[in-house]
Amino acid sequence: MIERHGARRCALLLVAVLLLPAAPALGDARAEARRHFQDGMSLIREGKYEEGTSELFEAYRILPHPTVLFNIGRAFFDAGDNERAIAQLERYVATDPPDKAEAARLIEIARERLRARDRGHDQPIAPPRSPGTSGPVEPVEPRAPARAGDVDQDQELTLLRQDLEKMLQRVDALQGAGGGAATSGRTVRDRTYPIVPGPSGPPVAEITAADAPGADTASRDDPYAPIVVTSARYGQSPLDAPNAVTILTGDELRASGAASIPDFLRRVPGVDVMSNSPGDYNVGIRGFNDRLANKVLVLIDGRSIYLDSVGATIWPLASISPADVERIEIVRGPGAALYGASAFSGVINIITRSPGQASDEPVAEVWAGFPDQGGASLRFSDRLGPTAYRASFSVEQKRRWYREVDPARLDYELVAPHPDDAVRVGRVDLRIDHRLGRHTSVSASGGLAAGQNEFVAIGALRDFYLDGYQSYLRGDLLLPAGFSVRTFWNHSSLDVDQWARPLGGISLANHPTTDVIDTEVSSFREVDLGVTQRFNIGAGYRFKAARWNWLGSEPEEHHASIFFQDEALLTDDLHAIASLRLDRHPLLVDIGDAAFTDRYGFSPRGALVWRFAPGQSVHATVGTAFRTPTFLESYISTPVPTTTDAVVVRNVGNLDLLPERILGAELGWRSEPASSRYQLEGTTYFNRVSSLIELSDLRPWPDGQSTYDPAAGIWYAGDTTYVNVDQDYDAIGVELGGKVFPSDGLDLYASGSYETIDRGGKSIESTSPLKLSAGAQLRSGGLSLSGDAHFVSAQTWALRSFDEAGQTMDTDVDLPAYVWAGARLSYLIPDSRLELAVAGQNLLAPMQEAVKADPGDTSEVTTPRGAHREHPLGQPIPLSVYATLTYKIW
Amino acid sequence: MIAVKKQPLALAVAPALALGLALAAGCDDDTDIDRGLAPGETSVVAGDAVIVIPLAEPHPVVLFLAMVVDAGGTPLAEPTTVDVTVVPESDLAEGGNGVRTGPFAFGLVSPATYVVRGIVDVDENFDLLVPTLAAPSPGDLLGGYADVTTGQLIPIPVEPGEVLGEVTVLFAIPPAG
Repeated sequence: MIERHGARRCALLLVAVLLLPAAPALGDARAEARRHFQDGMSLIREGKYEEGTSELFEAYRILPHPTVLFNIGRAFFDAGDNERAIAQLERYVATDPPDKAEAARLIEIARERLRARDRGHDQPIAPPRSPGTSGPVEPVEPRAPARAGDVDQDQELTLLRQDLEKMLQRVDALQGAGGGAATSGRTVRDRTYPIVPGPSGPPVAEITAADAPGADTASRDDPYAPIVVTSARYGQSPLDAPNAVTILTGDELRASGAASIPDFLRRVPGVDVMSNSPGDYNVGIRGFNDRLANKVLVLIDGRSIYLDSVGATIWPLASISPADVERIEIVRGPGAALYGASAFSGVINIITRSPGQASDEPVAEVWAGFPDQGGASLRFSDRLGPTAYRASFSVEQKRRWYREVDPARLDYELVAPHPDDAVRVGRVDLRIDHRLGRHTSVSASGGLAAGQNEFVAIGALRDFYLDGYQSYLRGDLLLPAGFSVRTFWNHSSLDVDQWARPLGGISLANHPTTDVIDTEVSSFREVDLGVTQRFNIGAGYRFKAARWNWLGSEPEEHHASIFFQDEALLTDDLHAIASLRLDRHPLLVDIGDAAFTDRYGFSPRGALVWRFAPGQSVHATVGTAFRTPTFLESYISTPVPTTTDAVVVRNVGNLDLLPERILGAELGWRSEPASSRYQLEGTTYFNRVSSLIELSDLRPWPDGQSTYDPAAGIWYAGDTTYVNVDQDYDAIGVELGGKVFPSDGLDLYASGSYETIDRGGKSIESTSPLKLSAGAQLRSGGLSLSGDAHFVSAQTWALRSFDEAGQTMDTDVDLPAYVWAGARLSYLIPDSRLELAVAGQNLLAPMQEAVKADPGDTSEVTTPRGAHREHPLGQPIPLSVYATLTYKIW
Repeated sequence: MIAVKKQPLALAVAPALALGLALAAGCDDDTDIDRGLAPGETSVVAGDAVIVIPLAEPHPVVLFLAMVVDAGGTPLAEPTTVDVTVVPESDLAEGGNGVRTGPFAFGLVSPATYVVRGIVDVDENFDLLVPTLAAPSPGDLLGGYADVTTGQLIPIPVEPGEVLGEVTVLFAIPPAG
């Protein structure tokens, strides 16, 4: 059923390409750098300074981190190698760390030592300090007889030493009390070396999610330790997270060769990724994925990119590219207690690289491949003292995988401006951070993504495109004592229409323009009330407006929220977390439930986290979440065509919808031993989903009411509207995941999830119950090879259509299981700044047999040979191969 | 430091060149039509509704596309309406001598043989969705795509993928009575 030419030839060429020695890229190096760092610190503790600092240098080479420079400098300082100590500490200070004053003092002491040596004083090598001790930094030095003229300098030196000792004692005391720098409460015990004079008091407040409270300070003892900020809205070890969390790094993303961020998420247990075109990705967590997926909150640095008007995330119109990504945190389970509506079954927080990082080199990249696709990006970042900035630009063009309609057909009119393209987007993103003081920073950022993207619409609608732009402006203010203020304005202006319209059919052209202005104030405080409490309190306001010819009005909504979270450190090993959020939302109706009164919704969460052994923890969590109806579901009023030209169905919104609700309970286990040789996670959960929103059957208009529209010459067969499903869905699932790092340069991962949903006999659109993933990355010298495979079990989807009388019909369509595989081979040319790579996606597609429709399947959905579908209306996904050339500018 | 063995630039660039050749060879083309997803190839029957009997005011024109011979060539016992479209009053242009003309189009017409009939809803009581009102009433004008000399409807054979654009539906039969 498909007209394809040259597929076999392409496959052979692909094999030829992959067999050739190819090139570049540094892969996921964080775990590797962490191992070198830990080995180095162990050696330093044993007094093996040369070997230890070599390991630290290696860690820094793999993945530069300013704190490593400090530790190298500090090791040289302790070893009495003052010249090298000064050199490394000066490099550290050049990164403008919050504690640069302390580093500067060490430098000054080292310089004093040198001056003293030059004057003839002996400078003994300082013995290493015992781990965790808070003794004096300097060993007792045999003092040389004082000479005239030395007195003032010696006094000054003594004062400096005293200052430093006091400061270190204060830090150690705070850390010993579980406060200050130790955001996880475990860093004291797990601390391997009294490394750095961390800030006193609560962790720094949030600039962006990347710099969330605790994110910075928690890294001081172990700069490469994984940090998660999304689960509790402050930085903590994943071991302390009250939800199932998976952290993927930007290096992993880039090394994977994934064509997009959602493609990269396929490896996360419990995450459903449905690709319907090169630009149409729908991501769900723990089931209930769908076209225009609306149950996962997607954030960039804590800023929602969830398009409230339709309740979806338009991934290509996010103004970032993979090169911008520092890491991605995927928190599974209800998240409304901290994030409010829309964090229904999980939160995906894409955390971008902060400006001015040492590891953030300016990079230019171009790529091209087949099916016709190509793009380019330019990214640079720098620091000028207390000011750091970054700018990134990218363009991307991807041709549709398949056309629904032959452009030569005379019975259809191609409406999309660029009908061959699924993605045709340009992006720009800018950010500037300025540090005003040790605990005070300001950040401003903005971005724009403009162009065309193609997607599969909902209900009986099919292939659509949007053409326009999304933009944002954002400001963040970080204040002392853990206060932060964040505000952003998301704006979108789009032209949306069918990709192709049958001649004589009604036009579905529409033009949504939406605005979201969001402001939030929050504060993180750690207080000792007998039991140490970490309070996280915030309040927010959101204004939403839409001007859209598909809506019956121009709605404006005002939301308000407050949230409160307390993490009580009952013991070093046992934490209790209680969270509660109150949302005032105009579309919340009274449902006779304590959790939802008129316009108010309560979202509680409770959790216990127990570190039952070093590097291992379990958590038990119960939480709720809700999804408020979107503008589309509440206010839409637009005709939908049927198979009769003169008959349409009116799709109308429903202002009496209940929010979709979920009650989730999960039990999770995580293991991240200090050896950094492996990470394991396992979670089992139960979700009860209520009041799902779906399109109703046709509802004829009341007798006596004319259904004829004389202006348009059409009859309305009736209305379909959005209704709540009068049934609860109980889902039980298990998720397993793990990474193994058997040796330097080799990373392995595997994950799997299984979910069963009790539908009570009612058909719902559903995602696959079983998903399995595995992959590996091998790095040697400048060569990097990665590969992934994902098995997704069979699915059944209910497709809606209208018959000639406008009556609704739902047809179940089965899609077979498929295996999605990807690989990337890269090579960093020695003594150059050039990296070459070849990546392939859906590599097994050429072996995919054609799928015929079942005899009783009236939807006539088939799939051509050499491709698979992830939704019956999605485009078949073929093999894709592209080459990338990356150049580090300086 | 990890020692990296140097490799000739040409060797490193080879994959990119190979890929470039692959692309240049035309791995893909412009004919990937997903027929499993697309509706079957259909046609368009279009033309003008022409009301030659002068009317004091414009009234909507309801046109019916009726199959008379199915795709397999089997004549149907009686014409079966498969599509309905309306030329709204606002789309009717008045010409000389009170003649009113408005365009119409039936889209997504499957291959078969059809006739086009219609009414001018003069008394404006036609309702497609109410069975008792979904028929001409005595005051309506009747018409069709017909031979003006015999008054017989002209069958329109429709092949896949064509636009039949000169179908003139004449309304020249005065109201009954």
